[in-house]
Amino acid sequence: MAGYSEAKASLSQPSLLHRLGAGPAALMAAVLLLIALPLVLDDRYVGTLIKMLAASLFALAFNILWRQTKLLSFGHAAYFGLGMFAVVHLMRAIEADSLSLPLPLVPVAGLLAGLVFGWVAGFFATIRTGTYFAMVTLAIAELIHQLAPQWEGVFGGEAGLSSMRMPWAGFTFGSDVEVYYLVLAWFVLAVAAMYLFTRTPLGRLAFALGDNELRIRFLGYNTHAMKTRVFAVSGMFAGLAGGLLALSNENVDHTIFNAFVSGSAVIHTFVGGAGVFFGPVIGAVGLTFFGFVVSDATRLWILYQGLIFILVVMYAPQGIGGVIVDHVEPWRQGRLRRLAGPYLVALLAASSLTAGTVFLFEFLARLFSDPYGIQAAASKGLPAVEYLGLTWSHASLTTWLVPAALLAAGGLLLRIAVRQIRRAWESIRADKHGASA
Amino acid sequence: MTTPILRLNNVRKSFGDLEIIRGTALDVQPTERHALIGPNGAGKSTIFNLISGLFPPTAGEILLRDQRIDGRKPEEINKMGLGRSFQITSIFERLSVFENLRIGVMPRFGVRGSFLRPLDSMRAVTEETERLMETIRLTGKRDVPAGELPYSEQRSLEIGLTLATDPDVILLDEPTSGMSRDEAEYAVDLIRTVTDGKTLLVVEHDMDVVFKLCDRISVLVYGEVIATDSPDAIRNNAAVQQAYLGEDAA
Repeated sequence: MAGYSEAKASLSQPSLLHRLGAGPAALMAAVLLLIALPLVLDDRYVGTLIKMLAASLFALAFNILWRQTKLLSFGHAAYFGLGMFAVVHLMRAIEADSLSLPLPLVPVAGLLAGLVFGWVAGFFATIRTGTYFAMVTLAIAELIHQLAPQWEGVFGGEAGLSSMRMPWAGFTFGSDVEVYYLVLAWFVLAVAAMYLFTRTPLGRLAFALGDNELRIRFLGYNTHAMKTRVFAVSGMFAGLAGGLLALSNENVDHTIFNAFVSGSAVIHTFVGGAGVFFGPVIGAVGLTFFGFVVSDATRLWILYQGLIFILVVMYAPQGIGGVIVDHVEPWRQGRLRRLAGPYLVALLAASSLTAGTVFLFEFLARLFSDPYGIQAAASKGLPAVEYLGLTWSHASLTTWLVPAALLAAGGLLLRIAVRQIRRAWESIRADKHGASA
Repeated sequence: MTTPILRLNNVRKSFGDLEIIRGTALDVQPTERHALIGPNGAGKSTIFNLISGLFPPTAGEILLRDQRIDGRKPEEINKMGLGRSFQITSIFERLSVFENLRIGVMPRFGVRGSFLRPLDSMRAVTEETERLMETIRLTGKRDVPAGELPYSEQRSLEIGLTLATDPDVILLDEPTSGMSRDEAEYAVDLIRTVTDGKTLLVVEHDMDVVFKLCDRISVLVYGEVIATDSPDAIRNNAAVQQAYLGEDAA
């Protein structure tokens, strides 16, 4: 798609905000919104907001390596998790009065843990590139994952470690809202630092390393040392992200080193758009919210998240952020309206396909669930399933016709939408070239 | 003649059982423009890769200013004052023209992997980069991503990157390949300007370019240098005509 080259081009635009893919007003509005949210939201959502911030920071840290240096880490849970443990250990020391440190500074422990361990692990991982690099990062994370339950003194065994936030300067940090503002302050600082990092010699070099590592060597650089540093910076921010989450959770156990956690940074980044600075934030916020909402409704939410990931990678590899960037230019030129109709059709298609898919999966999940199995064994037949307030029988034609009709209609609409969208984009591009000629 | 600035002594390189370079001897004098020519598969690019440190020779020695460089890493050899370009354009596609050159320039100012100051604020680096950009005549394309430049300008940038570390010895691998006649002439003119007072070793297929640009020519055939001489002498060398020019004509 056109957007890929646009995203590439935006790397070398001199303006700071253009590069971020957001205007100054939009950025200010975003920060103000983040400040205002706890005032309007119910307290029980504030915990989720903190998770979103930590997940965003984590994905951004992962994407320093991927977007800039084209190094794909499958083991960032290690640095995130060590950051969490470092913070909990520090909080325990403060709680036991063996150390006096204001709580707002405690996340520094996570940052340092990520930095130091990222430096060591990065030294080994960056000896290799490509697939081998990814495997080494995975192996390092798995190593810690396996060791952690054994080292009870450090990782608290199966139960993990807990602590409490100690009051400081009149703040008790007893409520989620107070913690949220502390985390938000660190988040804003860290995002600014990550952006500024891209402007430093090492940050620029990281892009060059991603483009052409061999050439860098012939320009007199020790590329292994440079990649180690970039890895350490990425590990540092991952450690800080973990530290912020630990501050909020007040506990951590060894399951944080699970490959699933490393995978979440990857999924958030690719769904949100790895080529755009703020892409990982879109993915992290979107999917954390998705998990929050959908996990209450269905146990299959992980499956649906996986489906979203697959669909994005297959059909919009530039991610949500990349898709947004694709639309900026037509929007500026006032040509976006042409897409409205086709997109409406696409929305109908997507709704219909989603409804059909979800119906099918949920029905099957109930059919194959343990309680249903017991029920079926007791009644010596296959009883009907209660679902959506209605009764569905596996033998009834309607039960299968509903999802079939939804999927068929969705598929048909999708074909129409794809054709219309392609035509609309062609006309937008033709006008653009006509205008510039 | 003075001592050569770059010298290859009986250099050999095998890949598995295949010996590509079979005892090459080559002397490059300071500030001369020296061409390395030869039929396809003669081993010209392999010679460049050996000199610049991509891989070590199987036997023999390579000396830069009387110091052994064979077996050293590319970054070490570069720091000793040798720069090379690539036959297949090897630039940083996502970075602008200016930023490409700056990556090469900044080590000269002791700036490598630091991350405590923004690069834009380093004025000496910026000035030197702009001077280089002017030299390779790409100032008008300052902020264009290298991946979006036309091919001939990418080739200019390729040369610019080679110059960025300010090497005394410059290795250019087919700098005019894929260019039109006009573009090649432009490139020759550029190469002549930027290599003034420096030592150039160039691999080139275009004989026009070679004869116009170079003071001396070495002919490499099947991994051995069969002759080194002035352009006129090479033109009239019977062995060269048979081994190389003759084959080319056939």
